[in-house]
Amino acid sequence: MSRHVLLLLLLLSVLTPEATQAKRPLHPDVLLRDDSGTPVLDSGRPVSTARSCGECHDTAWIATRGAHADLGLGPKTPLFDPVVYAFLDAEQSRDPAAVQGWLAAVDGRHAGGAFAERVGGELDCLVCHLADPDDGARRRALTEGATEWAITATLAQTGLVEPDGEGWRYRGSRFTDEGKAPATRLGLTRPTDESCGQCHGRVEGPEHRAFVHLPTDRHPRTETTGVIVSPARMSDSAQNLRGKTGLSRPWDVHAERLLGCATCHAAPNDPTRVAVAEDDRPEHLRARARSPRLEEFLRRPDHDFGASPRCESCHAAERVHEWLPYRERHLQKLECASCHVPRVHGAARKVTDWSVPSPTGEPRLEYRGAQGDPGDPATLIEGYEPVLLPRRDAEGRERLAPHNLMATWYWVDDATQRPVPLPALRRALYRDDVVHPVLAPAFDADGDGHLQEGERRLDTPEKEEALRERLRAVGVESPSLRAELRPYALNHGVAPRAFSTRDCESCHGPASRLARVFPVADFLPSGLVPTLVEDTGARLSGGLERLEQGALVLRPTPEQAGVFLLGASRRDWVDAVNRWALLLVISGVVLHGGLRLVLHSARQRAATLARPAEEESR
Amino acid sequence: MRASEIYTLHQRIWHWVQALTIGVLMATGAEIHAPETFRWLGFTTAVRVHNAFAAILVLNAALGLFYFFTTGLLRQYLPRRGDFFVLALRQARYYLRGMFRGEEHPMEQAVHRELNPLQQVTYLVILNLLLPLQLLSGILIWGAQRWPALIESIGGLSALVPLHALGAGLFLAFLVMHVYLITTGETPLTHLRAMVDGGAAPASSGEEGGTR
Repeated sequence: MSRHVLLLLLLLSVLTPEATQAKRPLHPDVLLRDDSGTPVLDSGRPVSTARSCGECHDTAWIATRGAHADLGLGPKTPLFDPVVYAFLDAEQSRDPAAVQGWLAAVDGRHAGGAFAERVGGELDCLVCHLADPDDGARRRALTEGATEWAITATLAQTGLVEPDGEGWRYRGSRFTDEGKAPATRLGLTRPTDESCGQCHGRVEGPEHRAFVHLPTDRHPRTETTGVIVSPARMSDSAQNLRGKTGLSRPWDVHAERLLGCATCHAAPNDPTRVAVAEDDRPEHLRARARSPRLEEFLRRPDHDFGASPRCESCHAAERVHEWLPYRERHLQKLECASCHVPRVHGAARKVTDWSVPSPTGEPRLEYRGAQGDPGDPATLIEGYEPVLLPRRDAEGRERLAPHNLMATWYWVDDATQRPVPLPALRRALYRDDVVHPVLAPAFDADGDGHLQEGERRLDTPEKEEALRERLRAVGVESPSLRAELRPYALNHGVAPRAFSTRDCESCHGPASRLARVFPVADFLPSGLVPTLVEDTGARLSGGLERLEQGALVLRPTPEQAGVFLLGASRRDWVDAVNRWALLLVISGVVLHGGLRLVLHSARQRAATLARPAEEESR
Repeated sequence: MRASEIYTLHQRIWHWVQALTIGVLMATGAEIHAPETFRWLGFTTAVRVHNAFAAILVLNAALGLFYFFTTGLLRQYLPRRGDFFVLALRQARYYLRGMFRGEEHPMEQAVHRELNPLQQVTYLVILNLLLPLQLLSGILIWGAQRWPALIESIGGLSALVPLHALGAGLFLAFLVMHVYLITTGETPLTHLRAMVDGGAAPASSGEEGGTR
């Protein structure tokens, strides 16, 4: 056989899918067990990660570490999520029906575990650690009440399971002779960016550079910030961006530099990342010989990613920025993202108004950064400049950081201090998707029986009172309208150096970012001004102001942001004193000097006239 | 120093260096304070130039203080005569009336007697109050990143910067007056020429006697 044919055969043998699959991954084959410990191939029951993954990894301990299992009740999760109208407090978390309702509201974006176990949900390791998890199937199982099958549904893309009525069936032929799930099919790995993006926002790999993202795509994190994480260049995407040809920058510079989510949001006890601080090292040692062992880490990988990674963990900002005057002062007052996330090239929610939802339970939305219908791919995405708000970090230090602000209005039952359930609100407003007859006179301006978007506004006291009465009629004891303003921090979508803020006058000048008006809402239901929530560590850097047209804006000032900014901050009385002092002196000089000139000229003339008379008299 | 010089070479050099640095500091300070009104160098360059010339001013002021102290020239800035108020009043009357009538100066300028009583008071305030205030507030503003705790303890930049701006405005008002009063010599350019070539003291110049 010729050498070329042999070479070709060799090449083909390497590149065939079977050959690729034959490469041994690090993780061994897994015996999938149900919650009683019986192999699922024998019982046909749902997979239990506690029994399957728990053979080697301490899943009980892992489930106690971090926010993924605790989501909904943890300190970082607000009780009420205005983006999706989800509410869960400690008392409700003990009620399976309330937990099921909450899971449906968050569209199944929960990793399972903790209170989710009340409805049969375990912590689902597979949604993060499979190479290709079927997140859609998993979330459908969670939201449709088949929570016990959620973990099994995650395996759908592996070919090991297939739907079977309300549950799933195992395809035994795809398992090994020992009845184990082959590691090559599972593809167990550290979480990929796409895995994180299933819940945490729009993530696109380089192979999907020409993607389109609509603000109405349901990515709650991207909706609240507008940030898309992708290594691709913005100019290569299919997004209709303003100034697109000039946007030769990546969506996120860290993604471009091949850093994934797990690079920064890593397990604190990962032995490859444990760095010994100088002051932790005993004085007599050059290096610390003892360090966490790999087997300890694999048994108990710490899933507490709660301590948010800081830029300073990797970047020594104090060693660069030579061009920046007063570098230390800037680093004391500004978080890195203030300059390195100067603009978001995406649309983000400005308003989520639940005061009069649609018959299908959708809120009235306003977006910032999009001109036109955000659901239309042709809509021009202008992006927006985030507002800099003072934010207190874990060390108690307050620095300015970029945020989006989202205002929300929703009804609350003051008797229970809980948001009015959405079904109750819909029952109050509609009867068979048509506006309730009691409300029609106040709400249905065109009399067609349906509420268009323009009619779904609480713009008169009569509307508010009529709806309040209807809420009481459907069982809400003490309905009141509440308004909140929630800041969403921007830590991703980092720009490369050339696109970061380097112009001093962007802050130190009359058009200072710290004094730029930030639109909050075009319309205020019932004229109710929202108040900033207090559970984020951020505070407003100025006052909320209603404009003549009824819109609400934030008017920040550097001083309220905690800085006295050269070139932008001043005391009016100082300028007034200086102006008057100068005016006084100039007036005095002009008067005195003018008088001197005039009188001197007069004396000269008098002397000239007197001279001939003297000569004559001589 | 020529025997008949009113201003020594050192005095003149100190004066013109002071004038130049204060002029640059005023201009760059105005741009830093109100960049929307004054746009000359750009904000970043204005800050750098302001810091550089402030350092020159501090050095010049220190050297000047040393010179005036060691040569005894400092004495002429101090009102010492028992009839100070009488002379001051006489000087004020001259500025407000006598000058318009062509009267003679009540005090003749001489070596070691360069300042009239009103000038002594003015320079006392300028050199002992306003200039040190500007220097100190400027140094503290510059040091805000080196001594953040100290700066915060005295009110932070929100106290220091307005104080510095107020001092600068008052200094500017003084400068306008100073430049005008230069023209009140025998001729409008007499005093200016004296600060360039040293001037000429009258033959009878001494510590006592004569009026200016």
